[in-house]
Amino acid sequence: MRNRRWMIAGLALLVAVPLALAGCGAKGGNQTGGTSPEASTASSDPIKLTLWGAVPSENGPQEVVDNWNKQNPDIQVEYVRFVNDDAGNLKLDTALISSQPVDMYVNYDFSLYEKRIKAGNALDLSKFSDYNVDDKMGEGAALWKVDDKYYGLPTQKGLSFVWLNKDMLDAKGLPIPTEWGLDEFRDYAAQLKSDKVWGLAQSDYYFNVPINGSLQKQSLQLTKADGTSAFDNPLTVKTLQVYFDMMFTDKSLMPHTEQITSKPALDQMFVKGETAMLFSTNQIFRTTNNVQEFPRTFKVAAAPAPKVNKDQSDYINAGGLGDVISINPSTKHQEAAWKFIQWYADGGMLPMAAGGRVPSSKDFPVDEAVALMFKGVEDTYDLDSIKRVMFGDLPLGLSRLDRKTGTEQQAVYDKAFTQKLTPEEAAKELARIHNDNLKALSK
Amino acid sequence: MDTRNIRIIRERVIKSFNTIIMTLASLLLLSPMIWMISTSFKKPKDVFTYPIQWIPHDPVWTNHFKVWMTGDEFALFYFNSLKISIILMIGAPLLAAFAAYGFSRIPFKGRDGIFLLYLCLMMIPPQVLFVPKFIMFDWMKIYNTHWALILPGLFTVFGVFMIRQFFMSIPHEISEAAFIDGAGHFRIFFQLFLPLSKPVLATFAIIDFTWTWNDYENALIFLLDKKLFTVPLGMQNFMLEAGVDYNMMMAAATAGVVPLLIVFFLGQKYIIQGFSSSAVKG
Amino acid sequence: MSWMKRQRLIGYVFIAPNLIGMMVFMLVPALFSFYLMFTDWVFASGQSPHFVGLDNFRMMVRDDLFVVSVKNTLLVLIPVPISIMLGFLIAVMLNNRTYLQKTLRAFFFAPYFTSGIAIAFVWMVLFQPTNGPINAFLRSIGVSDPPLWFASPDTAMYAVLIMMTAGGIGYNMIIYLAALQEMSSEQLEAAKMDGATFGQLLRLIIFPLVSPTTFFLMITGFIGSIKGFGMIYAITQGGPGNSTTVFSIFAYKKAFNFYEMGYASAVSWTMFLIILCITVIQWVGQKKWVHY
Repeated sequence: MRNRRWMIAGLALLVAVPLALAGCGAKGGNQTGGTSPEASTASSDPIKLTLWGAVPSENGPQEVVDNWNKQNPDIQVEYVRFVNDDAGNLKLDTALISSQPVDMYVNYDFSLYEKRIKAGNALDLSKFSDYNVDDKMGEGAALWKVDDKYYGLPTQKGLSFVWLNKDMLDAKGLPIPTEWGLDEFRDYAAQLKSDKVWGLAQSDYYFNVPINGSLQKQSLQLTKADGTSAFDNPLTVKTLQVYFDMMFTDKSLMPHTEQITSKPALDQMFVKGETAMLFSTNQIFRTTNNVQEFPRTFKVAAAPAPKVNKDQSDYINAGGLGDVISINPSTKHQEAAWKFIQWYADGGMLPMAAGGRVPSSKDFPVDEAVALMFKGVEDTYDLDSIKRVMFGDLPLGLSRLDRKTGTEQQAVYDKAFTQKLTPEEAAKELARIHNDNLKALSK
Repeated sequence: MDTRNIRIIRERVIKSFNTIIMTLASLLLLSPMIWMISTSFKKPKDVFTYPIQWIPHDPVWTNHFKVWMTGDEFALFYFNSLKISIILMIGAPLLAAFAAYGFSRIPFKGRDGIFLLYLCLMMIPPQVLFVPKFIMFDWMKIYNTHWALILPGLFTVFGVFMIRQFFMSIPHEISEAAFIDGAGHFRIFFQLFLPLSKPVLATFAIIDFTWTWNDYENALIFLLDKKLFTVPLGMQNFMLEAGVDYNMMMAAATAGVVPLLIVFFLGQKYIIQGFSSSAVKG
Repeated sequence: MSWMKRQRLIGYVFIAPNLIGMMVFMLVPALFSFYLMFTDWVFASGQSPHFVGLDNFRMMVRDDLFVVSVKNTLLVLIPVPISIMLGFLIAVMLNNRTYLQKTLRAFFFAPYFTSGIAIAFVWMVLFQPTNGPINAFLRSIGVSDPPLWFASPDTAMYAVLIMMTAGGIGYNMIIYLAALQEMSSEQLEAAKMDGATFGQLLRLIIFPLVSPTTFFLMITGFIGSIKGFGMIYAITQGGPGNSTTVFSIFAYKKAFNFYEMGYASAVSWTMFLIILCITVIQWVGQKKWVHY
């Protein structure tokens, strides 16, 4: 008998615990239900939309949606930030195929964009006839066409270029380059380096910029006419050799593997004067503009990305239009989303300019954007060279190398810069990996 | 001097020596936490300096202020994390102890087989389960709710295993004596084993709390709604497009450590109080 | 009902709540991924899974990452016993052989609380080849060409192993501390009176007493070591040149980076098999040294 009493007590407890939890969890559940945008039962309720993007909300997006929400009480947009890394993209892709609301999202990478289109997660924009994308965004937009259709609206001009510490260049009597090859690049770095200053710093794996840039004219997939990889060529070998020499002969560039495993903040190195040149993107603006936290005395100038050889005529600069906003086909409010996206592209994204984002729409008040970009810090830039690079007419292109090849090739670069592979071997290895993946994709 | 005094002195010397060695060793392991706290008081430009500033030269409070005050609802994230972690800290050890008793003290057919299956489940790499779990959670309608973290968190192989090992080492004479007194398994479990296993329950509760509190990936994949976010997801805000905003992130991380320390110091009492005192009570 | 039958029933009652939860939240997803292993499914591709038999395994053994993953997965076993041993010694020390016991316990356990990002950063800094304190120390004692640690494919794995050893100590210590509370002080005092040295005490009394805990730590330690990847991934992403890729990073890359769920499942289940072998060996071997 006593046994039974204890058994009942035990069972009661086992039932009670989950029940108690259920009570607690149900509240959480209701909370979500209440905030979901499907709640627009009454006609007076505003439409609620979510926009997923990778820019931290305080760096512009929050201001953008606040402006919109003030002007459009009937369509309220919420910005959701995701981190643009593997896990963050997986989160977005999971959310897209779930029953949860993601109405609009920004693509930053062609192969993910393409994948989302194939998975049916991006709306074909040709159904909206009121907006001519090619006309608005210029010919660069066409790079984002898949099967001759737009599944997202490119909104900004992204670009990789070389940031220069003008004072250091002046001290050595070096002019701001307007066109250069890797030999000149190396020469600059060697002259500018000193005991405590690197000649050059560059974003991780940026040696693929000149390598890929030399191949894009042939095909955006970086293949030869016969469909095989174009990586194994003299320009690749030369690039690897020059970079190797900068790291280990001239010691003007931090060895690649040391950089990727100690992850220095390159933008801070630049503003602190620890490197004379910085090969990166317009993301650095946020740091160079922040003279309160990163006071600097020198002027910032800019040069285009180096070609492999200065006289190379088929070189395409890495960049082109980006920040491609797509609509989730399962959203209940396609028209409203499209309305927001147009507004964003043609003027609404202005607050993003402070972080270095150059709008691509021709309707955009460019002067206003530029003014905002350099507001209060005009004197600390060599504006001529910056404008030349950022708003000039360099041939821009966007490689469509698949992500997998890109990632797997990183190991080859690591090996090339730790003397596990000679530049020639590395070029062959880059091509091998690429060919393997091309074969797998064509299956 | 008599030998007793010499012995006492010798023991004191050895004890002091041990203390010094242990302090030095622990400081090495403590260094990440010191760095975390000191970075939370740094200006951005002082984060990447060599040699490291273990004590910021120019300390500022603004990072901590910004974490709590600007933009996102860090306090809400904090509350969510607390809610989930506390539920699991209580629920998971209880459920685990229950199963552990079954696995260690009651002979039944297939027991060891089932237990090995448990261990096998522990060996499956989590990365590959995210997508199957997501599909299941979406179907169960618990995707994007706290349930997606609470329900799976309640059932841990680790806890069952840990507590089972403890139960195995409790002398059989103790439960046999109770049996003779007419007590059944449930009574033995609640009146004898649970009080006896305070140290191991407290240890597991601390570990489980820490896991849940720091769990980033499950929360990342299974929660979409900002109102449901936990502290590790809040820290995402400080992952910028190019690199990590270390001083802000460490300010958030420092704030995040406080509950862990509280749980640890509360739990440590039970860990150390230990066997002898509870044996008396039991 | 016979006594045996009742026993069995009560046994099931005790494990049922946990077992049912396990089935739903672990076994079902696990079985799903087991099925995926034989398919070419790519997540979020709009394609449904196609049965491809053992193709994923054929692809895996040819993959550059496979050989290095096997090698590194065996290497990461090394830190486990070392860190258990250190954790044990420290726990014994902090049980009653030092002053400031409470504070020191918290110090040793602190890494367990600290944000993973902070830990990764500090290890990165400690091992930094040119400015880092470890190499500064090595140079000061006359090593002219200290290792590049994480920055070289030849040494990155050693740095990982050192990091893992240190990373496990605090956790092992706290678990041992709980186990040590079981020891009655009379037993120890009696042994001391008999003139046993500290070494003898450790070997003959303390160690056998905590052997179930040691067994637990070995099993979970090996599993955790093979499964764990967060810290390695945060610092090296499996590089440089894939040199620190372990099975879990291999699987993570396939699953998270490329969404190749079929392939990632095959990799994961291979890893599962390795862990299973190691666990079974330990399970069988426990009779020799674990005293319940």
